[in-house]
Amino acid sequence: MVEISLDELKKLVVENCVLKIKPEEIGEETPLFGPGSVGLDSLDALQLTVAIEQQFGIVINDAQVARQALQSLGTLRRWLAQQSGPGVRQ
Amino acid sequence: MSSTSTNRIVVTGFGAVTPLGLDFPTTWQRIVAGDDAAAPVTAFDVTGCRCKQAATCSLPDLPSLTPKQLSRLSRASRLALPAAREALAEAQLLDDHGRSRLSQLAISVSTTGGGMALGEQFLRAMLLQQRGAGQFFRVARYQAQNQVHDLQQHLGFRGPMTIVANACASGANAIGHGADLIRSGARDCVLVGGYEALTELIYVGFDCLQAMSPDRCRPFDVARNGLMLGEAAAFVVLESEPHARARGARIHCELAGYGHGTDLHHLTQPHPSGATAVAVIRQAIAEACCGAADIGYVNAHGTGTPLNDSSEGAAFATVFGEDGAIPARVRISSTKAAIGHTLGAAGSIEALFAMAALQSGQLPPNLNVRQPEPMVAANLVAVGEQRTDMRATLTVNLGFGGSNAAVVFKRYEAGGVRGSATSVSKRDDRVSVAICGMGVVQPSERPQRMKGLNEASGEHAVLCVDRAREPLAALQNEARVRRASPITLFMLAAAQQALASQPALRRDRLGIVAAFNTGAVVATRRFFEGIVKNGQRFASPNVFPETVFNSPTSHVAAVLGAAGPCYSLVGDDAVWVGAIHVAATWLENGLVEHALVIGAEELDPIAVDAYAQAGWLPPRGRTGFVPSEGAGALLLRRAESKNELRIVQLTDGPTYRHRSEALEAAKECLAEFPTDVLQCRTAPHNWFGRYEEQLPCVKDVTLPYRGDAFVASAAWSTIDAAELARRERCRILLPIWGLSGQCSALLLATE
Repeated sequence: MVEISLDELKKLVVENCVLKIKPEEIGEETPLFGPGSVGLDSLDALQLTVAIEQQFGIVINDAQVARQALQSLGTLRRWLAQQSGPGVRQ
Repeated sequence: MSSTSTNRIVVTGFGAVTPLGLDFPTTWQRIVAGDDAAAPVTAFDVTGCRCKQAATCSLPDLPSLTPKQLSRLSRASRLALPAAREALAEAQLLDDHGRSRLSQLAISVSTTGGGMALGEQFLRAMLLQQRGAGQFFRVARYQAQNQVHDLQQHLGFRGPMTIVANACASGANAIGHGADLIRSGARDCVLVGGYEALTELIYVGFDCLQAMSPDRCRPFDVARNGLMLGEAAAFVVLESEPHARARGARIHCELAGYGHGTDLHHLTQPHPSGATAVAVIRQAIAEACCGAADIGYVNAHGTGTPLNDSSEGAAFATVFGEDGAIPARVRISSTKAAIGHTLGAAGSIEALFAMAALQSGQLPPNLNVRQPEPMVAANLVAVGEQRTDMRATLTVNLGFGGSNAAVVFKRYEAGGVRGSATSVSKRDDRVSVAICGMGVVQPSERPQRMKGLNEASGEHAVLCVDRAREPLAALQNEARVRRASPITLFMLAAAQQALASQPALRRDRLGIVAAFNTGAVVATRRFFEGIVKNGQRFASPNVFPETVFNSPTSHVAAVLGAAGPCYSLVGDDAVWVGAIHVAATWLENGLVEHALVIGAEELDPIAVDAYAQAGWLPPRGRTGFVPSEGAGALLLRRAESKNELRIVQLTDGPTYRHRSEALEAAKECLAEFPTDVLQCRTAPHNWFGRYEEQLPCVKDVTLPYRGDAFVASAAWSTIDAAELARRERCRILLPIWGLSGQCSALLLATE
């Protein structure tokens, strides 16, 4: 199991996606993409997959898996928690 | 603009070096036979990349060069030189010694990486705290203008250079710009083309975007999964019909139409409808005075990425569709599965394929398709197809940053007038554009200290823009530019100032020409630093697109809603005048109602390393060179009266190879300008100050100094001179000394 705090994920998103907001402004279930969201786009999605692999050692190779996992910080945290640890390959 | 008998543009020579051959005939023979050049990358290490293949060239032998000369050529020049030579030879423009018969020959070329492999070696050494021999050579030779200097030196011509860096559409833009120069009467013969040498930075960039196919590039296949990168060089000789006929040249075909525009949808994604592609294809077809039904073959951009091919297919369906389908008589192929996506060379080599198809009737096939996209299923060219009844062919390029371009070639039918051919290609420097807005982003007056990345480079005084001050602080919250390099903010702020006095102008008829020397160097350093420190696997997809030369221009266009054409030009300070020349051509042709011309630079520690290694900074630097940054923008429109503040004459060129030749080049540059005008001094702080004193002039004035920021400095000088001209109601001549080999000048007037 990979236990990752919400604050850690907020920081990861704000830093990697160069957002001009404070990490605490992103809610756990705020959508990351699409209308009413944080405003991320496809480049951010790729950036987050790279950052997740670099920081947690978990590879996301499948676009469908990425879409599911990256809906919100909540979905990302739950998805990461289901992985069995660094080095896991999807 | 229409192609009448008096202003037709004809093609009289072409040459290429590609992964399929060291000359164009070999390439053509192999591509129509269905060969492809996909192979493992060996030019650099790709261990950390997801993909491992590309289409790379064998380097041609250059027996006429000495080993020393050869050692000074970048890989990019090794590809470009034989291709340009082949084009000039084919056009019968080389003498018995392999030198150009035209001593003055304008050149319009494209590239995205220039000699970036040298730049990478420099960056890596600085990041790893290495010193040693060769660093000066690398930093002095990687920029694109050096490859053009190589062509000029080894093929024996001089003249103005235009280097278009519009990403994947650049090659078509370089050809189109050459055509514009001829059509406007400014030139009667132009060498046009593009080149690209595969480099690690670009390869890793596309790899991290997951834009490359891990197996096979399959353009227009429903299961396509990415592109294959490639490298190539391709050149074309364009001439006015009278010039070509006067010298008895063999004419291959007519370049009949050119369309270009900007898709503002997203930096790396086309609009799904392909609306901008539709507009530029229609523009090119209309200019060619033909209809969509006349186009027999289309060389598609067809990268093999899911989004490009669907958007492009939609555009073809809109342009060529009849009763909901594209008629089978329209043959379409992408040649990128065979030779790869050659980026800055793509538009040029693919134009050659479209011309060769028109001439020979053979068609280059679309390889690797198992299940075609339904929209183009009836149109994709198979191996061995021939079609000899075509009147016209089309090539389409859709680039990063939304740069879209299309070129139409028609069969040549004699009938035009004969002109005269001299040993000097014609030059007409007169323009008439009014300056109706200006904007400046300048650095703080107080120098600050900036360290290089390499400890040996030390800490030096630089002049930086205060990014925390308005309007830059507010612009950083603009969603489109949140990832952008600072240069984008400088350009945007300067552009908005220039537009402020004209709130009602039509943004859909606004074009942008931006020019840089070093461009987005912050993003480039950050991206490559990530590769060196974290490995190729963890290269940043968010940073790579910002390293591309035309990204800042594309962002500015998107934020301003400027839907006209956008060019990003590369060169030294003197490219500023070239940028104004492009804008003047667009205005004269009615392509746009207004044009923004922006010169900009940004500073980064790696720039301090570069200047320190080049010996420009203390303690070795004996001049007062102070690195600086910022932007300047002019808003231009066609002049309507002599009371307006106008640019009335300009010369972009000539080039020189050594700084000691700059004075002669400047005298040549200024020879056609009047002498009874106020002449500006722009270079008292650098090498050219002592030359400037030797230029003949009646009265001079020294302009304010804001540090050395290359193209931004040229823009600031123009704005200072323009304000002086307006205040004093006089004519002012502004010479611009390029730091790496070009002089240019412009004349401002108001009465």
